[in-house]
Amino acid sequence: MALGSRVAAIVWKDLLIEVRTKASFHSMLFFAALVLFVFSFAIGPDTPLLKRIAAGLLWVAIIFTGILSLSRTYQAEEAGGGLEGLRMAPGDPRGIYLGKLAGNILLLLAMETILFPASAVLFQLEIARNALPLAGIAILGTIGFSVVGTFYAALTLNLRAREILLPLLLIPALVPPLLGAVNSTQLVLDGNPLGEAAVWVRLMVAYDVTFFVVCTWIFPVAVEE
Amino acid sequence: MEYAVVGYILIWSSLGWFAWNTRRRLVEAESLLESEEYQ
Amino acid sequence: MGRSSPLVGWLGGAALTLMLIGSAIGLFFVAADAEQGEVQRLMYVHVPAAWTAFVAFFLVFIGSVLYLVQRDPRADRFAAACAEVGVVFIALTLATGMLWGKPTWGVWWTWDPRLTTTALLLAVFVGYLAIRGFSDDPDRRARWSAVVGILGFIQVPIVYLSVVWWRTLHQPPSSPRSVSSEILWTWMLNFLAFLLVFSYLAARRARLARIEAELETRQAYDV
Repeated sequence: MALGSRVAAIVWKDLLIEVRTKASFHSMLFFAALVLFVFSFAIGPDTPLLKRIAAGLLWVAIIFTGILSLSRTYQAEEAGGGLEGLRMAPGDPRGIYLGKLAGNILLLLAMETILFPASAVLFQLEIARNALPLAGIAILGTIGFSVVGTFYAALTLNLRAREILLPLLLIPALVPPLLGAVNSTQLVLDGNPLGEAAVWVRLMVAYDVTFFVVCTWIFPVAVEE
Repeated sequence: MEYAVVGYILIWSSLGWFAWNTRRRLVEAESLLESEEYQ
Repeated sequence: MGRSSPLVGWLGGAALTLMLIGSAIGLFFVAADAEQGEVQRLMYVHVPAAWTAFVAFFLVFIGSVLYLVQRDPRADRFAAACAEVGVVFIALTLATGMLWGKPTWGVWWTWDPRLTTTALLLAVFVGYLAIRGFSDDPDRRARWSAVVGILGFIQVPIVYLSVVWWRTLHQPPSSPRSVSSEILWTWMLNFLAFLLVFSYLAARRARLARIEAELETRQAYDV
């Protein structure tokens, strides 16, 4: 099966499951909103303060939600014994990675289209007029997160303590995209034209490209029998 | 000065512990190996 | 399996000797720093420890690549040994850095780029050892930790750069002080001492791993 059609098949299948049940999407969204609430309660109703750190809170919520949903990336296959089937199917195992990656990115982005406006309401942010740069930053950050996240999720799939191993491996790896996303988001929200934020955007692009190439290339080793 | 001394002590004690621990495990493993060899 | 090579014994002896000399010089024979006083003596071990940790990290990367290319378990044991000893050195770098920071800056921790990257490097090392600890099958353990080792190595320079940018947003970088040749020589001496200690300990760990692997194989056949 050619790589392209394999990727498309996986994305389509996962998307169908998701659209029918909407299970992941709803719980992810709700969880992310809860994280924002918890932080707001913990920090206090100091709106100017919350507004200053809103970008950080938003991306922390996205990352926590993303990590939770990552562990479920391969769960559908696991339950039905499908991972063996996917692996044994002839053709490039990279198709599994790319398919899962696309699915994760789409799911997270879909959640963010609601989460960003929600935090705008909670923290009194002006996202409407910065919509385009914010969308670009969201896409770059989500790609960065999903590229390494999907990879480590596959790597830790068969390990005993994977619930703690996945965050342990993932979080140090996420420091560059996290810093990039948070700083560029905050700069854009503060009315700073993409001047200063450009450095962070470049960091995210470099990170995304580097790890997309490395993870795709090395993926077959991670899921070998 | 105390901070410096604590630092040097920390280095010596952790490296020393590591060396001792490795040696102990090696002695155990080597004796296990030799007992098996003569079985 | 044979006896351990006598070279390793000599290596240990040389390491110990150099460590003694280096520490004596750093603690007693070098004059205290004009500006920072006695605390500066920590730098004579903090900097070499950091260099040794980076060497260790690089060796883990090399071992991981070698393993994936050749699938030789010796490469895997080499990488694992370097990681086990390396984690000690990175922890010591962090500890001596913090011990230096407290009297100098007044606080145990600042989000200084080098300190922060050292902490994250420790996290990467720990992740590498954790994935080994939780793997049962030696082949998978070797493969997965090799992947983690390679990815981790690629991550660290990017992490360092991003933390530097993050900090320069809030604080201009401190201008580097010029280093006297006396300081440089002491650094070199202690760096050599630490490298010898590292090599000795890693060699012993690798031998331990080899014996344990041999014991495991024999157990498998005995049943």
